[in-house]
Amino acid sequence: MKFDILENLKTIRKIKNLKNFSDSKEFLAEIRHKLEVFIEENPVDRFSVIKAEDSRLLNLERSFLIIFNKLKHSKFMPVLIIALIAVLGGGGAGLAAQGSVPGDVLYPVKTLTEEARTVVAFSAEKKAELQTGFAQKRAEEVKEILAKEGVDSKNLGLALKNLKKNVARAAEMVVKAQEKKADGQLAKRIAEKLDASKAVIGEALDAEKEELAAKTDELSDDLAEAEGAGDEAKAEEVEKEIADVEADEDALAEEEAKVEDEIEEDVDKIEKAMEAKEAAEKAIAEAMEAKEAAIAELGELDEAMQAVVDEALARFGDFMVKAEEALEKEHYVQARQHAVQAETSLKHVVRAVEKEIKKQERADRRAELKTKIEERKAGLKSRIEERKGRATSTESANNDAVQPNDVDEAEEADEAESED
Amino acid sequence: MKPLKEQFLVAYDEYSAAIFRHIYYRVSSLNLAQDLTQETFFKAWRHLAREGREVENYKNFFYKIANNLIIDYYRRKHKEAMSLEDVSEAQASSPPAQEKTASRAVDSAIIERMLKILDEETRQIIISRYIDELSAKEIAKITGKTPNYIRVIIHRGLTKLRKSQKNEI
Repeated sequence: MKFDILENLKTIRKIKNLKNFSDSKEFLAEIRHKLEVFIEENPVDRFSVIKAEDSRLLNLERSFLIIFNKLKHSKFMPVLIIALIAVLGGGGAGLAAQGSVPGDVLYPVKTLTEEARTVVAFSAEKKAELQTGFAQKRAEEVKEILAKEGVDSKNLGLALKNLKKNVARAAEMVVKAQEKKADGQLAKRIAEKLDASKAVIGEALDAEKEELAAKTDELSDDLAEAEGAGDEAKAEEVEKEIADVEADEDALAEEEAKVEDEIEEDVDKIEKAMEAKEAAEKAIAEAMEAKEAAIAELGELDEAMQAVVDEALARFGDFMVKAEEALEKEHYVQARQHAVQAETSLKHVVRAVEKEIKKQERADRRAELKTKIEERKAGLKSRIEERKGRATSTESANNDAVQPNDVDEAEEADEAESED
Repeated sequence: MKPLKEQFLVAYDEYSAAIFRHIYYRVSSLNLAQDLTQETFFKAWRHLAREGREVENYKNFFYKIANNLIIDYYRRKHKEAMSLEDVSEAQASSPPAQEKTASRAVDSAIIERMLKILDEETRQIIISRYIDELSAKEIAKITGKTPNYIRVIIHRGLTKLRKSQKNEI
């Protein structure tokens, strides 16, 4: 039970080996050929394209955007945008919308205002800065939603999706600005700001994680109590609740990993636009920080767990040596890649180990409580036996055995007594 | 925006091998897997042409269609007077000789165990999770279950596989 996760990892590795499945190239090329013919014979229905195009947007946004698109190339456009910003951004609904989060009625107004501001922004640099600022707002929204509604909120997905969009656009604009004139400073500035946004989300997720962990601990105590008292129905109920909270924890970890993975790609683009040397040094520094954080976070471990972590650290070390070597040889891109690999390899292991430690802790705690309760119960039983012995000796003529529910009743009475 | 046709073919190039592999592990017959793979992509295009809109996530879209076809296949097979036990037994036997080439590099023991001791649903979910590398959320979307349910099934499936491994040693 203790090393379930490690054993399961082995099984998972074996299953993953099944990925090396080849010999399908020829046949897939054949289908592709057939598909091309099939597509020619069955072209897209023109009418449905138009229908589909506008069913994608939200109603409010859509009606604005239709006007927006119609006037895009007319000479009234600048006037319209200024008017729009005055109305939306200047006051009234626009101002009220600024504090909205996904799920609020005014949220589309907020995103639309942002859209309008991006359109009027003159240069790619300015656009990149704006999008980075919006990404910051998304991070705050994520924080707020997590605090108010928890992981289950569907609005969380929307905020994260929008965050990704902002980061992607910022990256796009940085690259575009870079094409016109190389400016490592812009990329650096944007990367730093995005790092700050990532930190905000990281903290919010950590807070939520802690809350969930506290909840599990509490439930764990309840479970031990229920099991100790022999209340199976209650125990089952609590177990179910624990499973729910644990599922939430998993969902949170998965969400976190996903956000990291997705944003990482775009941050990558930005970092590539930085001075190569600077980017490499930054990645190496970050990887080292990640290692220290991991060691501090995991603390002391038992042998088996330590072995897993040691192995991961060795792998991390290998990557880092390669990174340093590449840096020395002035192969900056490579150096950065190795550092990033090192960091990711470590992250995965830490996540798995953390989860296992938590599980173990909870199990230990539960076992401890259980023995305590059992001891108490045993004490009670012996006292009842004693009393029973006295009773039978006085009523020696009576041969009736004491019924089990009599014991239960006596026990209950005793429990009530001891609780007083 | 690229035309739909190009998008679709790009998606085909990206995912067809994975879809084919997925189907193969689920039906464990090369010929059948080839037929179902072809059917999957023809069906996908028919859907796209009718709706005229690009799909947000081609990967999920393809897996969903493939999954439906596989389920249809098992239903048909079931109707052809074949009991469930027969199905699992037929799958449990090692792949025929001409199919050995396809799975040469593969740990056949684990496949056999997956086929023998896991039910159809668990097998699908485990294959989707670890071979196709879909997330629990994605699998939930494809199968129409909740992510929590998927996680529970994965966990139970893995434990079952691990235990059967131990018993054999």
